[in-house]
Amino acid sequence: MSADAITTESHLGDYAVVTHTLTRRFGRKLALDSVSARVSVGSIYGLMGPNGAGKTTFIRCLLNLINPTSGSGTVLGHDMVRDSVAARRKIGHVAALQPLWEWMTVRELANFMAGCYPRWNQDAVKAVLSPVGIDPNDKIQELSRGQRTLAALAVAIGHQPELLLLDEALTGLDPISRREVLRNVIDVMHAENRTVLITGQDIADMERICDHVGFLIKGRLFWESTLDDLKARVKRIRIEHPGGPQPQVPANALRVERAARETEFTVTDFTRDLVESLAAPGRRVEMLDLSLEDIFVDLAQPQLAAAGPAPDAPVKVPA
Amino acid sequence: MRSLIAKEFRQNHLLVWLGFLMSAMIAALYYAWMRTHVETVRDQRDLDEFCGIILLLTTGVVVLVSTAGLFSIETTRGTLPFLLGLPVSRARIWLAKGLAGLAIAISSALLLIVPIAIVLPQVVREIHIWLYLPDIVVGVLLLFSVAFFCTTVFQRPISVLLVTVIMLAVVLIGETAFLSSAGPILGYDDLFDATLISLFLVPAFLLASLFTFSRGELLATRRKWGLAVFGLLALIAFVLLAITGATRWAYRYSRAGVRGVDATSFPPHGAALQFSAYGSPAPFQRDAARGWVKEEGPYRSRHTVMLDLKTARELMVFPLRGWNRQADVAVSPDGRHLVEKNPGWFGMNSERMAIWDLRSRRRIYDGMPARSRNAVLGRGSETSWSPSGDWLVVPILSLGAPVQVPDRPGQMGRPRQRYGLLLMRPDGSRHVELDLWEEPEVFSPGQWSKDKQRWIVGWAWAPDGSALYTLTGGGLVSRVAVPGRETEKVWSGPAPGVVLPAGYLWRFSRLSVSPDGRWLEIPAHASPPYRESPAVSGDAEQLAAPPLPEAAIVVSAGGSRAFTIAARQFPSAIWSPDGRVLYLVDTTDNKLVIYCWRAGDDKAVPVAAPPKTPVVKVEALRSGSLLIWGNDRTYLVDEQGRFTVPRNEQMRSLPEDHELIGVDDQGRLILRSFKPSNQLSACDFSTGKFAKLYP
Repeated sequence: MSADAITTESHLGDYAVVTHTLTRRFGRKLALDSVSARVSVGSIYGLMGPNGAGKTTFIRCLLNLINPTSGSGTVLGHDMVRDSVAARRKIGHVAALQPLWEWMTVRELANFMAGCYPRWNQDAVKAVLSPVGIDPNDKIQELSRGQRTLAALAVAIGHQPELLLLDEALTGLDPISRREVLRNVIDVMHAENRTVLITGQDIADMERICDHVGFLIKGRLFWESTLDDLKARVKRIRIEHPGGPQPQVPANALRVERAARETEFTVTDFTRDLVESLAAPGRRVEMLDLSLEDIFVDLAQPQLAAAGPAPDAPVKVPA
Repeated sequence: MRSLIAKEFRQNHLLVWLGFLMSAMIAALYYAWMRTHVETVRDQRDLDEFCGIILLLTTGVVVLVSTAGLFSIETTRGTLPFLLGLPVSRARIWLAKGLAGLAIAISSALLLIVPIAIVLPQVVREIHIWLYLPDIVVGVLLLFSVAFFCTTVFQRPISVLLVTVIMLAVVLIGETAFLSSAGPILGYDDLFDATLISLFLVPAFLLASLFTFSRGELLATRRKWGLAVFGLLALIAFVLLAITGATRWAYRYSRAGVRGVDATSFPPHGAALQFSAYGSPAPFQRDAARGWVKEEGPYRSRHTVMLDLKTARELMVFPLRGWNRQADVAVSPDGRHLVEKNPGWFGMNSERMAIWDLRSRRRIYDGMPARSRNAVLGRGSETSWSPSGDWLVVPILSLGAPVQVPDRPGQMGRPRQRYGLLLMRPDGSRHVELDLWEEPEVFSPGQWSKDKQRWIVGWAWAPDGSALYTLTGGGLVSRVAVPGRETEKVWSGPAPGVVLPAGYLWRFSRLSVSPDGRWLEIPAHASPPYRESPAVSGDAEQLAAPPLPEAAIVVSAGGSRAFTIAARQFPSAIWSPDGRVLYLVDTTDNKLVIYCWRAGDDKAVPVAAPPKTPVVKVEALRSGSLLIWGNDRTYLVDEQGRFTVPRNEQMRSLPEDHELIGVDDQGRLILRSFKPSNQLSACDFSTGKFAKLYP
């Protein structure tokens, strides 16, 4: 399906990002493997994956910093390749440890950025800089690594983007700064029904702020759903069976742990019916909620353990 | 866009100041040097050259440094993705960088040039900076484009610097090689062509840079390289094809910069014209660093051209490079070979002769054919090909013990060297030496007879190429059967039958063969022995003296004398194309004296009633008539010796600003105009129509 075909679908207005079988190769390495993702407008989408999973490549494709080898996509209704300039006008982007022009002051950087966008809100910049104590007259080269990230974040939202791409941007921030960012940037964006796509390794933060999640491993997006849906579907089942026979574990169960008296496993399509089907006399079936980190580990480990290129996604739940 | 340009300026402003500092340092050092060495600067040229070279070098360095980092520094410092993430197209980013970089390069160059141009002339003496501006502008543009291309491809500034220098050298060498193989592009000026190619290459490099940046940024290095090389080669190929294609399309009319056309000659068949075409003059306009003062001649380039007169297309264009610009050149009548005779440095014994195969453009002979005999190429005498092009006659000057030739009897004279002839094949094989003298000869009036005057001073080929006629100063005409050195005495002269004063002798310098090969015309002039070296002009006694008698002797190819005519002035001899009529013409002192001799007659008939008109040119037409081109009228002389006027009214008065070069095989007059200068045209004498031939 081409990007044009995608954009003609009536419900696409609900999505800030839509990709269709997006693929990117670097020589022999397959960085993105037919990624079809959808990020709803107004959502805070956490894209998670281990190092080298292709998260940065995905974001660079969205910005058209690199061209996809195949596939297509739209960003805020614009074709991400052919109409990338228009898309970038509505996008704010902060990458981890993003180098900036060190000879500039923060104010000069903001002024430079202001000249590149049709509209600019200096107050939004100040709202990020002031709480963390960054003086606009400071030179970039005088700032710490975290402060540089904050400065980049501040200028990335000056044009009030409809989509904010944070590529590991929270990495390296101290807890206070991170909290300020979450409060002054992400919460504000969310409140204004603007979209945030965030990648990172700090899953606790992601769990706290994201309402949508996607898991990307070896270039393949093998899970994408709302956080609530994810948590509702992925459960840990514990069956206590003192003296009784080992219970039958579902075929698609993950991280199965058997002991003499109990068996635990994770299911990705949890329903009440499943609990009832596992129930038996002398057994105690218990459903455990999992944290996002646990879910990610349980889902990612089998993918990572598989040798070679990314295997077929075992589970794919449409958002 | 504006903020992008402003950012580039701010980012690179240090380089501008660096340029300014360099300028100040150079100016200060220059001033200090001039103060202490002002006496060693011999002339203005030294001053300008020194200043020009310094300017070219320093400007190049500043441009290179300021351009090399435009993209590579962004790549090295990792700010490029941030820049590319802005809502600006890559083309705009590229354009902003380019404009800013060019502006920085130009402002840096100005910071170098302006202080030198303004301050130093006040201190030392005037410097002609403007002479170097075209060189600097072209150099800045080419260097900028190459460096800009490299900075989009390479990630490290140092790599950009090194590769730019290498690539620039490759470009310049490639330009030279291209011009060598493809011939002149737009004109007969190699440097002009090279400059034009450079200017065409500038957009090729810039577009390749744009292509690479817009398609390949953030690609893996190898892929980006592939993209860049592909783009660059494709664009350069396109540019060169476009240039050469356009040139070929408008081949003969697109020659630019032809400032001189001379040394014209017709091969025997008269269907083609060979001439030398010159590029623009060396000094003043563009290449002051190399030739502001005329040292190597008035032109920067010279090409030998063979023009097909029927189609007006160039059959051959052959560049004469370097010192060969001053060489004597002769193309073989069959158009297959070209001989260059280069006199080399005066007194340096560096004469060279080269023969080129014009089809393969290979030099098949290069050397000094008579070196082993301790001789050099003769100066001032032309090499000449046999009509078939199989043999070449090379005049050589003996380097053996010079002959002491006294100016007056009984005196020791200054040393004189003697001429001889060498016959050789185009590939340098089969040398046949003619008359290299073994014994020095001492001049004395009593002994100066025809037997002693054996120096070959003139030669002419039989029209069929079967023999070479040689003429000695004493009037001995010999026929040399070719190949071989078997000679046969044809005529031993001189004795035109006119009584000369005591001590006077007849002397000979050239001969001509009739087009049918049946007759030889041998002019002679009387010479007193002490006029061995001509008297200085202004000698009142000599000026007042009556002119010495001169003569024309015509003998048959077998040696029997046909007739001799003596006159007060030396006549020029013009054969009709079929060789049946010889016109002896004297045009001095605004008088026109014509003798007409028909083959087989025993005397020449004076042509009656010559008009009193200054004569511009006399030429035999294909019809056998003689064309007299006067200042205001043209006349024809027919074979019966009658004056007529041309039937075509237009031809009764030929344009004043034209020179008659000759008559081609179709009977057309080949003319060279002076306004516009050096344009060749053909004139059909019967219809009066002019046709532009060249350029």
